[in-house]
Order: sequence, then C-alpha cells, then structure tokens
Amino acid sequence: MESVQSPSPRASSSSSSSSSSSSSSSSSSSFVLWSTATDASEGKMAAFLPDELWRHILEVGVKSPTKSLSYKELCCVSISCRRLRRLSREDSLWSHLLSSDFPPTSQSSSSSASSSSPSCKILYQIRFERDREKKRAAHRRAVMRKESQISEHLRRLRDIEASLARETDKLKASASELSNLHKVRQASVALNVWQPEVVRGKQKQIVSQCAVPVESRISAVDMEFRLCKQQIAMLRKSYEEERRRLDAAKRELESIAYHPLRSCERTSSILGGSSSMRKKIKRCIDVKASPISCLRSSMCLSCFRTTCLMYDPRVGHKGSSTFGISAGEGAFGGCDI
Amino acid sequence: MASSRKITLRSSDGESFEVEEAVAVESQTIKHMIEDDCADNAIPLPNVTSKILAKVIEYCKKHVDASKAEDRVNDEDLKAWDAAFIKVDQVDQATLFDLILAANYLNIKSLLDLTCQTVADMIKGNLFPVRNEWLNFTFSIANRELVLVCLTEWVAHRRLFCS
Repeated sequence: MESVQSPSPRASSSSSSSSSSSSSSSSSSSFVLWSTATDASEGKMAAFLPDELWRHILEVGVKSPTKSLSYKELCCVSISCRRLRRLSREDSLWSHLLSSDFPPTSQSSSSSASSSSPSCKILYQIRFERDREKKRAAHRRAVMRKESQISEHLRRLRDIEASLARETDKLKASASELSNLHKVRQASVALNVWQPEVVRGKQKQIVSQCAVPVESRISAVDMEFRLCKQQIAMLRKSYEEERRRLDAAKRELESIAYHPLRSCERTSSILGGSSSMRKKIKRCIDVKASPISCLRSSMCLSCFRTTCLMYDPRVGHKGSSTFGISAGEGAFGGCDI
Repeated sequence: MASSRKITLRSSDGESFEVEEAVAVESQTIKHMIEDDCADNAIPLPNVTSKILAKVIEYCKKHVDASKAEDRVNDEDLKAWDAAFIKVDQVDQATLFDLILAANYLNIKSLLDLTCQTVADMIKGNLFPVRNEWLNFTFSIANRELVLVCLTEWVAHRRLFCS
C-alpha cells in the first residue's frame, strides 16, 4: 500500500489537470468504467482522499439517520485494503454501532467506563455472536415445541383410534345380538300362527334357547346399538378434527424449520435412497409417476414417514387409497417447486 | 462593510470567478481570509480546479438564496435540489472525490456532509470503488503480503459475521 501511495502526490497534480479533460469524455461511460475497472487511475481515485476525510465518510455513514453503514458494510470496507482496515477499526465507529444495535444495560455501561476493555469492534463481535446464539436457541426451542405438539396430536389420534376400535367391536357384538333377538321374536310370533311341524319344531327350539325376556332385551340392545353408533360418529368427528390440527401443526413446523441451504442437503441425501424403500413405494402406491428419481425419492420419504406414523390395520384399510392419492399429490407438488 | 461586495476567487488553472461576499463566506476558509484582510485582490485557491470551483459556487449560491428566502418553506425543495446536484456526481466519481477534497479545503460543512453521506450510501449500495480497488490491488500487484492481509481479513470476516 505504501508503494502505491508514493506515486499519488505526483499523480494528483497531473490528475487534477487531466481529470477535467478525461472527465468530459468519461462522464458518459464512467458508469460502465466502474464495473470493468479498466482505468487504473480511476480505480485508485479513492486512495487520494486523506485519512481524515475517510474517517469523516465512515462517521457520517455510521451516524446517519438512514443507517447507511451497518456492521456488515464496515467489515466489507475493512477487508478492501490495509488503510481502510485501520480506519474502519476505530473505536468511535464501533462504539456507536454497539450502543445503537445492542442497547447497553446498566452493567455493560459500567464496564465500558473502565479503560481496560478491548477494542469496540471485538466487543461488538462478542455481543453479536451472543445475540445470534440466543436467536438460534430460541429457534430450536420453537421447533422442539412444535414437534412435541405434533407428537401430542399423534398420541391423541392413537387414543381416538383405539376407542374407535372398541366401539366398533361393541357395535358388532350388539348388532349380532340384535339380529339373534329379532330371530327369536320372529320365531315366537310365528309360533302363534299355524306352521308345518318341522318349522314349528325349529322355532320352538329357538324360543327355548333364548333365556332372556325378548322384548325388553330387544329394546335394551337396540338402545345400545344406537348409542354405539352415536359414539362412533363422535369419535370419527374428533378424529377428523385431530387430523386437521395435526396437519396444521406439521405445516407450521415445516415453515418454522425451513432453511434454504439445509433443505438442499436433505434432498440430495435422499437421492441415494435404498432399493427396499423403492419397492415399498411400488407396492403401496399405484400412481402413474414419471420415472424421475427425485420424484420417487421424495415420495419415498413422504411414504416412509407416513407409514411409520400412521400404521393402523383398522384405519389404514380405508386410508391407503386416500393416502396414495395424497402422497402422489404431495410429490407432484414438491416436484413443481 | 459593503453588504454585496464582490469577491474574486481564482482557481488553480487561472480562471477567476466573481461571487457575492455572502456566497463566498459559506466557506469558512474564505471567511477567515477575508477577516484577516488578505482578500484585496483575488483569493487564490491552488487546490481547486475551475470545474469544481464552479460547482461549489453553484451549491453555495443555492444555499444562500434558500436561506435568504422564507426559511422553512423550501426545506424539502432544497433537499431535492441537493440530491439532484449530487446524483450527477455519483456517476462521475472523480468529480465526487474532488468535491469532497474541495469542501474539506474550503471548509464548507454542509457540502462536506452531503458528499460524505453520498459516499457512505454508495458503500452500502456496493457502487463503490473500494471493492474494485481491492481487486485492482490483488490482481495487479504481486505483493504477497498485501494479498495475505486481505485474505486473512476476508477469512476472519466470513468466520465472524457470516452465519
């Protein structure tokens, strides 16, 4: 930098006379000149400003109400050349940034009074990193909270499914008992009418087999049947409700945990998926997917995830057809992006 | 003291500009020269070329006229005029830097602040030769030490401030 500075006093006197001639020709194309930086003297023009003016520029920039220079720009300036690095490291600039970006608490203001504190830029860096760690930790906590919410939803879904299963069992039992009782009633009614002897014998058998008083039992079982049906309907509704909440929570988790760089890594790691997963896809999804490997691997991921979470013989029966369609839709939607 | 006395300013390349005293004393340097009574003949300004001096005089004239007129009415107009004034020089950065040097030499605080703010905005907007300068240095100068310094600072900057 020193070797470059020595021609500058020589050049400045000539540049002031040449600038008037060159500027007229270059004024139209000077903007293009900046991007190509072919003219070396134009590029080094910034070096001609004395230090105090550079200091003034940086000060004006940092203290301006429009916040022209933040820490990022100061760092960019400091990596451009040694002189600017020295100038941009000054405490006055960084202490201003420190006080504006990280408003000081009472204990830090007392520590800044002591002269043994390190340079303000380092202080700023420390506060910045601490702040960043805090933000990251808060983000992680939010993601974990969302995930626990999702597992809560899943647990409730499983409970609902279990009670649904119980109720359907009860329903089946009461339905069969009801049909039996109806048969008995029919038989007992038919006994009052003349029947051929064979039939009468059978009916007498049916009636005698039945131990309980028919009519009251029928009404009781009928009530039970209706109750079971109601319960099942309610359970189904709450299941749907829970399902919806789960989907909403999953969507929220995705949006919270989205990171453009990391999602790239994830898709690239999926591309090397195992063949067993591919077979599973071929078995359970009958969607006419195009033979793009990324499409299949994204389906593979969604398929695998949903089969792990949601495997239930009772509900899966009904769910597999809808599941296939939704997974296909999801995969196609993902492919569009 | 004659209120509208004419002061002659001579630039480095010999051109003379006649301005009213009120306009000339926008510059603290010229004001002190007048007070010290060196202003009988033309005031020589060896560090300022005629082109830049013309622009500086234009700026000072506009500001003196604005302050002479009703005060608060043309505040935004003045700011708009300033923006237009400096925008031409944003493209021609040599003139911008010459203006900074002239404003510093002539000690015109408002012009200095205006031009410095412009440069700061250009740094922010990456329109600035600082980067080009860096590229020029690293590619045109085979100075290993300089390159090392730039590179280490770059690495440190990335490590510290780029998440």
